[in-house]
Amino acid sequence: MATRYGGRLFTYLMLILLTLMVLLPMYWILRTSLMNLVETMQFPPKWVPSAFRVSNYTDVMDRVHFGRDFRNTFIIIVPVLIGVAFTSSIAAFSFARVEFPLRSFWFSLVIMTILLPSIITLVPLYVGWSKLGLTNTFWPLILPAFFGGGSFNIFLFRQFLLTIPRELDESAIIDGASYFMIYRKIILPLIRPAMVVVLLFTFVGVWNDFLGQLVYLGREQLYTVALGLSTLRGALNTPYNLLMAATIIVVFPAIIVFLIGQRYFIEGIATTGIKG
Amino acid sequence: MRGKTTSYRNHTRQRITFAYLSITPAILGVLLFTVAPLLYCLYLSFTKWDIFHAEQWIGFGNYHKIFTEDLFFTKSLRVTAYYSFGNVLACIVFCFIVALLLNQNIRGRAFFRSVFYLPSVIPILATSLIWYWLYDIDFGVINHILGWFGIPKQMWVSSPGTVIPSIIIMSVWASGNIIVIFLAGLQDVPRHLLEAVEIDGGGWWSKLRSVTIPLMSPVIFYNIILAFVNSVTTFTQTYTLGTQGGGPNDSALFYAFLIYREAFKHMNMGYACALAMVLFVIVSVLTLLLFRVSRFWVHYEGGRD
Repeated sequence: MATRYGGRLFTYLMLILLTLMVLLPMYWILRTSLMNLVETMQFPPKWVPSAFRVSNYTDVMDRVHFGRDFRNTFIIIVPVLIGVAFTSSIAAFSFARVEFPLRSFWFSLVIMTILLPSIITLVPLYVGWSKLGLTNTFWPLILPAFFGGGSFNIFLFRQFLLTIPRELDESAIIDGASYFMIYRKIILPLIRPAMVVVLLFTFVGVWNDFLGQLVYLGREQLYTVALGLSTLRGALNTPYNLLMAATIIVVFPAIIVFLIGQRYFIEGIATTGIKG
Repeated sequence: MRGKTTSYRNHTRQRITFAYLSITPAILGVLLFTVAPLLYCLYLSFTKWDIFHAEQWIGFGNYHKIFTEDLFFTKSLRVTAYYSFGNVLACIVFCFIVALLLNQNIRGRAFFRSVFYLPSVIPILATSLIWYWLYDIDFGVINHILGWFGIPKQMWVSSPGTVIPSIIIMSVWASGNIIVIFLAGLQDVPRHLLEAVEIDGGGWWSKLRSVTIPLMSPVIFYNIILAFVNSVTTFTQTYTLGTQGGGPNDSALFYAFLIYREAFKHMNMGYACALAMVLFVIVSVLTLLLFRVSRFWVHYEGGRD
């Protein structure tokens, strides 16, 4: 029993220490974003700003067109989420529960693409889009979502579907339901936890996709938040307090989305059973 | 009797039609966004092309240059290999330990899980900016905290010797995905097996070694593969490093950054494609090797379907 308690104490100590280490960077940007420039350069550094300079946030909003950048980012994210939700879940439904010829062949073909680092196809894809005259538009970032929505998501949905009893579909078929009806009426409600996981991953993925946006969105009117932030960084002598205020503005929506979904998310992924 | 067979046939046809319709977008996606680009990349890799003029067939010219003249190729390959190996190892070990801690019956588990996951929703660009500020030699908080323990100031991202380990630390910080996937796996480790070890007098180490790790090996393997593919694609961390990117003295010149630079800064599309094809071959061989080796240490319960 004594070792049990010792183990427990050790666990808590480790977790608290690690938590502090993980949270420190986030605290540090928050504190820097509320300081005046002189204070950010003080050594030893101050842990709490002497006056909370909220005006850093309004100042940085004047320097970067965050309104426009946010709008552009959402113009990309919304259709991407719709495309991914539909095309990857319905494909996974067939791969998991509908028998058809060459099923395992097509499935392995889709799954193999998970293993391909995206940087390898970046240049030929860019050339392809540019020949179609679609670079400097949002299309290269949106359209792929309607073509399967990523092998990883298909894999995730399929794993989840394999844990749901098949008898459900079978009895529906005996009752004369079509497969699309089964997908829509039975499967879609059941896979909600996996859907939350996929949508969050996708949201964060788009928010994170700096390279893709950098390559395809050359015109400033099309800039996303990630690109907007990088221009601030690129400008020489950007004051760190403003840069950190901008960082908080960019990080904020992603964190809100995560906090809203995190209960479903972490539980969802635990029940999704991502395994090889 | 006859009616039944027709309806069965109809049903079969309906099923197959539905299945093919539903997977068509995914299959088209693979063909349009992976297979076709790969083939196109192979073709372009034999050309010299700046995107503005017509492409010019030069045979193996690009490949010849890669293997004989291009010092950046060797350098970036070394940098990427060093980073990938270190990053995969650090992420897997750290995340596995955190997942083990989080998998116990503790108070505030949801809070701790959120904390460790949180950094991975922060855009990589923002992560890089945050960390470069923490790493700052004079004003960074990391050197300040190390100072409490009498550890002298480190150069972190400003020195060729420490830049890769510094980026690895940053990447471990942001690898909450891996923790979550490990947690999912840990929940399926049967309690009775752990209890059996306990009854036999085994401590936490024997539980870990003889039950948890073997049962988790498919998940560990899966995470290794994902972390590996991600490491190879690392771009943003080096793009934001320094004014030109690539880190001090090109010490963080990642392969992905080299491809980007050749294609979009120097407008050598053909050459960038040749670099991509070389990477494709290397990654394919390594992945195949990882799968081969996995047979010796990854155990699947009751085989695989």
